[in-house]
Amino acid sequence: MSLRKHLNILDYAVHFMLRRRGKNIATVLVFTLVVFMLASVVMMMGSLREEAENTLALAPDITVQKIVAGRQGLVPLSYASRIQDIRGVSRVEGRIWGYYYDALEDATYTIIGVEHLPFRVVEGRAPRGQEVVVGEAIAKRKRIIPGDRIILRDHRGNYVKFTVVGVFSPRSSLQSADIIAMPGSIAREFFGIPDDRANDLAVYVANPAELTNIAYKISLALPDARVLTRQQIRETYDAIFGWRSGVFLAAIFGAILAFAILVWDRASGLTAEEKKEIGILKALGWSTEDVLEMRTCEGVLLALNSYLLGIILAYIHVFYLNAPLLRPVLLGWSTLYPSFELMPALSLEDLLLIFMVSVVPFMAAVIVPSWRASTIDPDEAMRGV
Amino acid sequence: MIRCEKTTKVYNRGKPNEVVAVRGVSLEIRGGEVAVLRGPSGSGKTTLLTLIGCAARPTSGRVFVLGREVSRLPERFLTRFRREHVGIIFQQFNLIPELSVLQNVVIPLVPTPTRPEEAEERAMELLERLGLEHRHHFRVRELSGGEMQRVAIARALVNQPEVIIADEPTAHLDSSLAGDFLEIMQQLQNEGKTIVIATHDPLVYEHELVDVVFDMRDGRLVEVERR
Ligand SMILES: Nc1ncnc2c1ncn2[C@@H]1O[C@H](COP(=O)(O)OP(=O)(O)O)[C@@H](O)[C@H]1O
Ligand SMILES: [Mg+2]
Repeated sequence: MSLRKHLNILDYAVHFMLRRRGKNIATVLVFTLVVFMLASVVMMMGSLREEAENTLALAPDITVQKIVAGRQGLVPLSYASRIQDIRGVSRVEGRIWGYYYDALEDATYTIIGVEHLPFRVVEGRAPRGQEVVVGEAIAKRKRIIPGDRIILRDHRGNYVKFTVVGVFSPRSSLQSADIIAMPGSIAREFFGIPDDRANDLAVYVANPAELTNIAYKISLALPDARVLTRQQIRETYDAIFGWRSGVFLAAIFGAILAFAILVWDRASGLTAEEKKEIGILKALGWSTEDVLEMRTCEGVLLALNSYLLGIILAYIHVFYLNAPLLRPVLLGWSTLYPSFELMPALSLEDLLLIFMVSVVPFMAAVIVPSWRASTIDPDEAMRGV
Repeated sequence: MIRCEKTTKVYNRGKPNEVVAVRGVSLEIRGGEVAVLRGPSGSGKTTLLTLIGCAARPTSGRVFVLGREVSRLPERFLTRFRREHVGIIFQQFNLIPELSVLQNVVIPLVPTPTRPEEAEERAMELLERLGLEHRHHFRVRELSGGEMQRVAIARALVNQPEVIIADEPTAHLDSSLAGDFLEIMQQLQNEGKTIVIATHDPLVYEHELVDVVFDMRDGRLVEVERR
């Protein structure tokens, strides 16, 4: 078969499409919107899931908090030595961290005290003395580069100067984005945490199989402590994702509904002129396959354009604008993380999934009615159908 | 050149609305002749034209065109044969109103390996011959009736067919435009084309260019008048 012939048909299809601009623009709009909605949700879920995995990978095996009057209070470091005595515990660390409200930017940061950095630093090195490493989002927002100074207000209200010596890698965004890391002793002073206390304890165990057992022993030994295992944190995430999957399903359902309307419109919407034109083409020596090929080209052009447009818009919406349209759905998430930026995470499977639920049924909707129209006998056209 | 042997066409066979549109017609048209199918409305002229023009297959009997038995060709091959050898001028012109004149004329060449430049060149030549070159970029709906028919003629000729069929070509034309049409047919006959016209317009069937007239009544061929 000659390629030339197919190019001719494709060219005719483009004209066929452009001639019905109004109808086709409406189609592209609905289609793009559906792909956009689906892709936004899929991309956001993918991104959050990846972030959760990163966070879990960094979380200690067991986190020990002290509960005072039903709220999280400071943990005495003496607890650390009692936990250290439990067999199977390899290491216990008192962690210093707290929230910091930046009135100038109307943003909340998390300040953590670190001895060694939990996240990769793209630029710079670990902080020493009055030095900090900042998250990518802070660096961007405040236009900071290593070597710059920042001034923060400590718990007494004094302004304290810090030198920025590094920026966290954007890959581990959810946590590193709005984090300021400084040496543990400096953070302790900054928040005014007594020397014998910490915000919580990070406990590491040698054998993961013993995790639950050790957690149980800790809660027995320290009745006023809340003991969270990595497993429990994972379950919390799973619960949130479970709920979010429901939202996701609802979004898909809505999209499919909108799509069904579009498809129905297309399927029933072969206009009298379109039918007449197909009849004329048949009478002029186009075969059934030629007509179908032309209509398929038209469908593919419409569908692919809408698909690409929807994906690109969703990408911008989720990863550049941080999904403003999905924010309400994310409220639950932000109780876990006061602020975060979504990092691009887009898998081929996701793209394929969206393709399967959008482009494939659309193509069927274009081709089926055309197929019916294209099988009319050419002599019908002779009588002016 | 064109031969029908006991050709019959039945619509809606076996149903209550069954119609025998063409009934056992046998006829022969020689190469280069201008033939007229004459008869009142409903006598089966259009149906017989579709059979001769390879747009439909007979229910029974045989049809030969250019020495080939087309009545037995599967649809795909019949379509291809029609595309390569037959030009059709429809009663309603059957032009696509939103397309330009040039775009309408090249339609039969689209599903072929013809390059677009070559197709347009051929179309422009025909439009020039028919005095329409200055209208090539006009939309069809901006044309007069006579111009529309000349576009339809150009389109029927663009695939360089040996056989041209025309269904009631003068039905929508005044007598002066009908005269123009016959003049064009005369030229085409001089080029050796075989022309079959279905009509009940005396202006056409009494014209000197007509070589043979087939009279139809109720799907039957009742008289042949060779001149
Ligand atoms: N597609 C069709 N289905 C059923 N009957 C048809 C169809 N086409 C034509 N007929 C019938 O066949 C007969 C011949 O029609 P036609 O060939 O159009 O005659 P003419 O062109 O001489 O007016 C008429 O009775 C017409 O109603
Ligand atoms: Mg007729």
